Amino acid sequence: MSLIEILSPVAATRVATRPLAPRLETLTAKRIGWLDNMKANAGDLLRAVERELRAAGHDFVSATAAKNATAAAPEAVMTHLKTCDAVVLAISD
Amino acid sequence: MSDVLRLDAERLDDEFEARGWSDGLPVVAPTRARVDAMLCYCDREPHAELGTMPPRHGIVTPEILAVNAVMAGCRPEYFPVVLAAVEAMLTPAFNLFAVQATTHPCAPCVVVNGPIARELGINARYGAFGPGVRANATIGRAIRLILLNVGGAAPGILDRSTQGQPAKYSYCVAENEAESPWEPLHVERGFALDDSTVTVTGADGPHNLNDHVSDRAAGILAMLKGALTDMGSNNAYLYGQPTIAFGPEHAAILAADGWSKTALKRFVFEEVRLPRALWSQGGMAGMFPDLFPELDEKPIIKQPDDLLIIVVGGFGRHSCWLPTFGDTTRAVTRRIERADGTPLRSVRDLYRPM
Repeated sequence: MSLIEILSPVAATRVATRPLAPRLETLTAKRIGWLDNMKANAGDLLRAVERELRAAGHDFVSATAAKNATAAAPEAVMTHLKTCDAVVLAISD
Repeated sequence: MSDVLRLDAERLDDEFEARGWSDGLPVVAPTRARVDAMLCYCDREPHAELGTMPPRHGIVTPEILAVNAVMAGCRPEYFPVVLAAVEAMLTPAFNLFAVQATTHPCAPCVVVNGPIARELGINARYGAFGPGVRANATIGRAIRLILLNVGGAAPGILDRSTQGQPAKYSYCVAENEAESPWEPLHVERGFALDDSTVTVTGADGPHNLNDHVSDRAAGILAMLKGALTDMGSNNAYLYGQPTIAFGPEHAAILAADGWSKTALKRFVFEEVRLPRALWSQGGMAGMFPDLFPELDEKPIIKQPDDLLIIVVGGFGRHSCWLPTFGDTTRAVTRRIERADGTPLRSVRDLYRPM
């Protein structure tokens, strides 16, 4: 076998591994954000999850927000969601 | 500094494919000597960081771009065009993250203007969007390999394009400035005639605009009105900056009847409109209600200047248009220049042996 020495075409990254955010022990009285990326089914999915959680007895406050799926969330949306204890994002074509 | 590997020379293409480093076609082995030859046409420090490329956020350096340009088969003197195209794609307005990661089939289309396009022999005439000329084929292919190996756009992983498209292999043309009756794209966008530039758009593949009969502008304009009213294209839904690439014969007919680029852009804005009777029935009109005004007919661009017009091709009465991803990616034009920001008149001026 003849070996050839080549340079890897794959770029280095500085992407850091981040731990999961602390899990909530309860949803009661928490503020839950629902971020809709405006794809056709994303809102339906978020509303279904919220409905299921409430049906299971969880009593929380909802905050909704929406962003264009093809662009980063505007600063105003991020500021709004920072008031939440947890945020649920749906990506659903 | 790029990692150095020792691989079986006889199985190099299989190895690259298995590692997810290729577009599926055989590659040129990126040896140190070949990469250094490529960097002879770059006056940046080989490990200088030029940014990061989404969605993987690989660190962009001249050396990593040169490795991929070698793999694509670029001649070393093509490298200034590859570098300028990458810098254009990294401009925030281009929104490369979305162009790379979307389910839409868009690919960065590179249009080269100015004397360097002619110096490198980038095809602007017969078959310019197709195969046959090394500069077009390999500059476009280098962009694709960079998007893959630096940006991480592996199909089905971070490139979520549902179907992809052939232009994702390679998508690079020059404008046929010599046979255009109008000022070239880069001059229209504020650069000097003797500047050389690249313009990138996040585009579908070319859609043919065929009219062999009309010998007056009115007939060609009617054809445009029918063809560009294309429900299903993202411009119909989301506006943006599509390109019309007129063949020289169509361009000559339009110009002979007094049609300037400005007038054509206004025509497309005012006359190419999706009728409410159609868009109100379905498609994606319900997704972005604010983008569908209370008009009976919806334009495909938000303002006339959002249309890009170039001349590409040889004889024959064909043109094409390149719909885009929509209004969240904007066309970006970048001058091909030295590291100090002065314009590069000839790639030979950049050559320095390593």
